[in-house]
Amino acid sequence: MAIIVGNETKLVVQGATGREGSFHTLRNRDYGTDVVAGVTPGKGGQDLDGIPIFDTVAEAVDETGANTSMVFVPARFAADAIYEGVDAGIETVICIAEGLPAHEMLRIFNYVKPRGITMLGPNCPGALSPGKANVGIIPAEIFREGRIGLVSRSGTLTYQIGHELTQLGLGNSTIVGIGGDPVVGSSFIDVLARFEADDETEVVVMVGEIGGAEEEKAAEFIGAEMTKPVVGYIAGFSAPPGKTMGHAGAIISGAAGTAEGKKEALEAHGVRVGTTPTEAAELAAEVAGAVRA
Amino acid sequence: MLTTEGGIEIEQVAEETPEKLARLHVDPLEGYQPHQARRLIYGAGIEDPNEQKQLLDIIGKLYACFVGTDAMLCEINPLIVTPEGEVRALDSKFTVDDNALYKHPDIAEMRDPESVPPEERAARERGVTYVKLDGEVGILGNGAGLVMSTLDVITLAGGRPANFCDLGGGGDAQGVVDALEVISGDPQVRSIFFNIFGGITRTDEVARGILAALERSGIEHPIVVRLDGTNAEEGRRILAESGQDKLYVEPTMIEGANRAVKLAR
Repeated sequence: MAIIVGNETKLVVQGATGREGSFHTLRNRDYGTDVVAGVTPGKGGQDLDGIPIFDTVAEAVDETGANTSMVFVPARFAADAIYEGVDAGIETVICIAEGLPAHEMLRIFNYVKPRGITMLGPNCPGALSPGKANVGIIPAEIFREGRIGLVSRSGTLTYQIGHELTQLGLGNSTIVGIGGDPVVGSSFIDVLARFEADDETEVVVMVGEIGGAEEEKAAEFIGAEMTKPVVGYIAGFSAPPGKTMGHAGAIISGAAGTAEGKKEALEAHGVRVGTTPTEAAELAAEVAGAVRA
Repeated sequence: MLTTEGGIEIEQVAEETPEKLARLHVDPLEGYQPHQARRLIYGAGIEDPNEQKQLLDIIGKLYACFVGTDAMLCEINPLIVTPEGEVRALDSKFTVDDNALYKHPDIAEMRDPESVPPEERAARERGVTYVKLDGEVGILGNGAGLVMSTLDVITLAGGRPANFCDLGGGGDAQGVVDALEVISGDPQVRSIFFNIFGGITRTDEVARGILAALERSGIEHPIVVRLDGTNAEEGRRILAESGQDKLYVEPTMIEGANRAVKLAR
């Protein structure tokens, strides 16, 4: 079944005609994702290599039955694009765009949640279910099909760990990037709950980093609610307090948000945590082997 | 959050006397309503009606300021009562979301370029994400998470990272030149570890970018490059055959980190 994106995904891309947007839209389609439409106001009636472009998401949904939208517009238009998608009946919103103001995202979060919308991002690489669908910028060629769910706040770190899993002969059910911003549409817990319910996922690898308390909350959830084994990795043990490390959300505030604190919280709930991406992948391989045996 | 235990760090109050810290969540769609402030005021145990009235006004304004300026933090500490019974702010701390500065040009202008180390200033001018640290191994990579992880691996290898530096998704030659110049401008740096995972950007293209950058920048430091991902073997071959004697190519993060730490000694 995989989670969030799969064979049932019918994708509309908001901002499909931009330079980055068109590159990734075609890449996603080449992978096998059912890309049914693009939306760029003022370009309705055109097409992107055969993908019809509409002026509004509402039209795209009416004409094509799109159920998932990928947001590839510049940051200052992203909030509008997200609301437009949700109001047009889109069920899953994947926001690749980065640079959304946190207050904007707080309002969006409180708008989409009660409507039962699944949202990933902003500032995320998207989601890939190998062999089924790729929505976003994840380089699909380094992953293969398998039974390990992977959820991460970081893009390249996800690729790194996925690559190591592939080299160990393992594959993934779905790879989910939740994004590195302080306020994101889906938390670790939201994604862990879906992996727990997914019959194609046997083991989950959770890749966290400094800042916030989402890894600690996820640790509690894993202890209380999950039957599937989870392996962790946390980046930022050597990050100094008070400095933002690239991702807006990656900052140690006072004694909160440290990598040590997150590692301890996870280990207290039975999650084995690798000290390097390589070790995390090896632990996942070991745990996956034990699940099979 | 509201507490009568002012003048000290709020984190300390939260830890030592959590019962003295009244907290409230405001639904951003509902927005601020005065009853929320009343709950905070009663919750913090403020009993004087005159103080309650003034606080109600201050809390409303503080929330408006928080939302209106896209602040990440708005703190008044300490908030005092004068002998005449007036409630006054004595000090405040205020941080604004970088992502929202485009909406607030007046606030953006207040940024004091002198407040960040010169290396970070130079990096910002060139569009490189750079944070100065206190070690000898300069670090450069693509993606914030991977770079953070690289700092950790350098530390595990017994070295000290000199900086955090994220090239972002791309690996074009000019971006690499800018980043290498910023990193090598730090006099503490003894070696540079360039950790690249190529996804959509193929690593053979990154390798050509690195060589172009080295030719243009004239860096003297030994540079360890770890290239992995799409087309990694081709990328490593290009680097190995380049004849650059300051360039060391390693296949994994850990081997790369060990080498860079050794070269920094």
